[in-house]
Amino acid sequence: MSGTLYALVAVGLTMTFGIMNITNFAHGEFLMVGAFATYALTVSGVPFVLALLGGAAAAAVLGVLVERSTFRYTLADPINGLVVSLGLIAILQNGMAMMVGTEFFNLAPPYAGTVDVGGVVIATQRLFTIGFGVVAIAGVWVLLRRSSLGRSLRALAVDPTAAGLMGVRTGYMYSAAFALGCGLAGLAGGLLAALFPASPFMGAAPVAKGFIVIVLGGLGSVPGAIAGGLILGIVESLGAGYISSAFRDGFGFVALILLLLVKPSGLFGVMERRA
Amino acid sequence: MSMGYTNRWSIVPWALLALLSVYLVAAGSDFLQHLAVVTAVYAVLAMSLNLAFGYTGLFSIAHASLFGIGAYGAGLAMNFLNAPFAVAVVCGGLAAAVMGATVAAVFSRMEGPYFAIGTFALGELVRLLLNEWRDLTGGPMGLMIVRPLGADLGTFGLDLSQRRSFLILALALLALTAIGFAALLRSRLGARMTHVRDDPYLSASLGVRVFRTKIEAFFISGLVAGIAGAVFGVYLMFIAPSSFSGMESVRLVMMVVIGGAGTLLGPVVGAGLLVLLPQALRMDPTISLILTGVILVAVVLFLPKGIVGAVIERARRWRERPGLVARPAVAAATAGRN
Amino acid sequence: MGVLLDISNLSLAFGGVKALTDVNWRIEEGAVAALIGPNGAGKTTLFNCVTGFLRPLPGSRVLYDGRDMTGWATHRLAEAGLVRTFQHPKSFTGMSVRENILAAARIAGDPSRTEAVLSATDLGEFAERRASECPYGVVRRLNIAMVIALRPRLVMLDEPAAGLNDVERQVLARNIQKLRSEGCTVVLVEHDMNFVMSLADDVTVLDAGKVLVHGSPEDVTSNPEVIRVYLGQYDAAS
Repeated sequence: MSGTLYALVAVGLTMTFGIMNITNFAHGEFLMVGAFATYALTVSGVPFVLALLGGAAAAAVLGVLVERSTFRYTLADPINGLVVSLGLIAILQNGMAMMVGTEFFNLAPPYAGTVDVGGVVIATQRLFTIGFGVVAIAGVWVLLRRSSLGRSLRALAVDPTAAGLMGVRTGYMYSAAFALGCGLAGLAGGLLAALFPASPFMGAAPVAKGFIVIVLGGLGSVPGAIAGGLILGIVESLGAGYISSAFRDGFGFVALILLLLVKPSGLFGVMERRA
Repeated sequence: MSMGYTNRWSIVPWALLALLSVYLVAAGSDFLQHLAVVTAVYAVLAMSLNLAFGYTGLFSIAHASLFGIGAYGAGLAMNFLNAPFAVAVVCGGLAAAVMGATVAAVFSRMEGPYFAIGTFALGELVRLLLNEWRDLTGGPMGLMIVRPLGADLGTFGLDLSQRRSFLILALALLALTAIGFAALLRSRLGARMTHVRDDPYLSASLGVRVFRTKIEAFFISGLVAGIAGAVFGVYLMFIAPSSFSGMESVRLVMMVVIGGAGTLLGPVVGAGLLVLLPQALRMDPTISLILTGVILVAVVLFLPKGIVGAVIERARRWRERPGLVARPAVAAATAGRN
Repeated sequence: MGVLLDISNLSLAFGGVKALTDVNWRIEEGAVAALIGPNGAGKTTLFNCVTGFLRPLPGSRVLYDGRDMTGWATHRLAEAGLVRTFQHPKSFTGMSVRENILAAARIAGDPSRTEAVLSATDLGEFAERRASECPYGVVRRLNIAMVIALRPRLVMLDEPAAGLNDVERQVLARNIQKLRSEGCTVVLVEHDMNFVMSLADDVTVLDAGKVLVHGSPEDVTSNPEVIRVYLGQYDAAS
């Protein structure tokens, strides 16, 4: 299940990188916004699935706002985008903390109970999370491969100038790409909120995992992000089970470092060599 | 921007700082002196990050970890090996220097964002290790460091039970770092570092050993960060892994960027702003963090060279305004550098 | 004189695509050797392979002055006197033209050459201007100047005339002759046939990663295979 969530976060992250060349360290904060939006909606009586979509939408809207006001102007120098994202972390984390305090918010899982799947007992909520996550990822996949929006986005990722000349409305597309990425993060946040306590600082850990995943899968590669997410989930479970559960979070980092040493472009990435 | 404009006026801010330092040591209140120690230490730390990032182009989100390794290195040396303070500081510094060189060796073949992500991962890994290796480091509960008694060679002749001694130490460290870096930047290594930052491929084609330069830069950067960490650790008498998290590294990046990456004074200004302003305005820490974030974004968008960088740029524009004959001073300065 | 650069069986693949196949090329010391070929033939790739930006496949061999330097790092080659320029003009943008040349001269260990190089390449009037504020042609000239400042043995110029007008091309030709007169061997990738004809001692034609033909400029330009390869491109376009 963690794998699915990691994949969700990673796909959004890799999209912003692939299309806009932005390393968005603040991605986790969009997850957090989605979590809180979902929480707020659920608590006021909205059905969970709708609340999830609402959370994703909230994150997406925030993403568009952020992209139009800041990231758009950093396209010339990616490092600037990175630095901006660091500033955004501080703003969003603490902004939320100012609004809701630093306590944890617990959302009771809307799908309580457990389910017996072929002899293995899984909490229903977790099963739902996997299911919904898979559906969302599949949806994005179809969107990218089949729709004209997806085609435009992929063109933009390869060559923005050419795409612009072909009639792709680059400004609009950048916002769309960013919104999509943040929306996915928000969705992951909403799903996460039903399982773990939410706090304004909850975004830090998932985004770290997200980065591990996208480097594992190759920066900018969506299939890589999906595969990487699942792989990381497995690696962590195995590591926690066989080596040390306290060090669970560390395995991903170790794997990342080892991979970067051996193949700096990731499992699916293509090494570009400028002359 | 790479070859900073050094002229008579560049010395002024430093002279002012020196005067301020003298005042603080002689007549500063306890609280002021404490603030000064913190600011000075962070200024040194920011300068070390600036060496790697501003001057060599290596975006590191791991410098808080280097800071922490310096602190833990010194603390462990003192607690377990009964090392004198001076030796412990050197231990901490070297440990961080080695870590820094390793980071560079491992990651520097990668392009910008990969490198940043890699340093972030390494930093988090270090924090996790510090947290989990309880026997050695005391885990999340932290490590108590006992300040040495007496004032001898091992403590640089200072009585380390006094806050004032640490102030002197921190300010001396700041001065040494500033002077040392100024000299370093004029050296061949310094030239190589800025070449690597400006255009690594061009530099390689001219014969610059890019990889080696990056390692050397990170070694020195780590050394300075580690020494700062060692001094700070002993000053606080207590260190915990949570103080050396990724967010702390981010704060350091903020200091460097806001102050002015690639300038000598920039990180000092940045550290001063981020440490002192919230105190001076009695801001809620949450609000001050939001404000810092906003300032950072504003600086990146409007003042990309940071505060000090913008000032230097203004001065350069004014100096080179049309109507002025091309000064022989520049050619002479160039010749003088030969 | 002798062969300074000896490339044999140079092959390179990007994933499944073979970019270079068994390239053999010998460059005499003191010569001006040109590499021409249609777009996508692999000329810059070949350059990158020889100068340490790409790693060739096993079996490839590059001898420089008799020493095997296959796969050597770029800076090591530069230290040994093999220097290259790039397809797009490059510079240390924050520094002035003079400072750029000075940087190269310092790396070569002889900073006093700066003034001489500045005047030899007619860059005097731009000396104090920031490289980022200089026009395209000036930066191209700056690249040549930086190369000259290094006093290399072998210079590889990647499309040095691209984007230059006639006057600037003449200046470039003069600078190349200057390099040659100082004993430097020059290898250049170029599209402009007239430029090549007037300068080169021998020409190698690359097509789809393979060496097509090698010889004097006259022989090559009248070679029917070469004409087909170049004109074939033309026909396909129309």
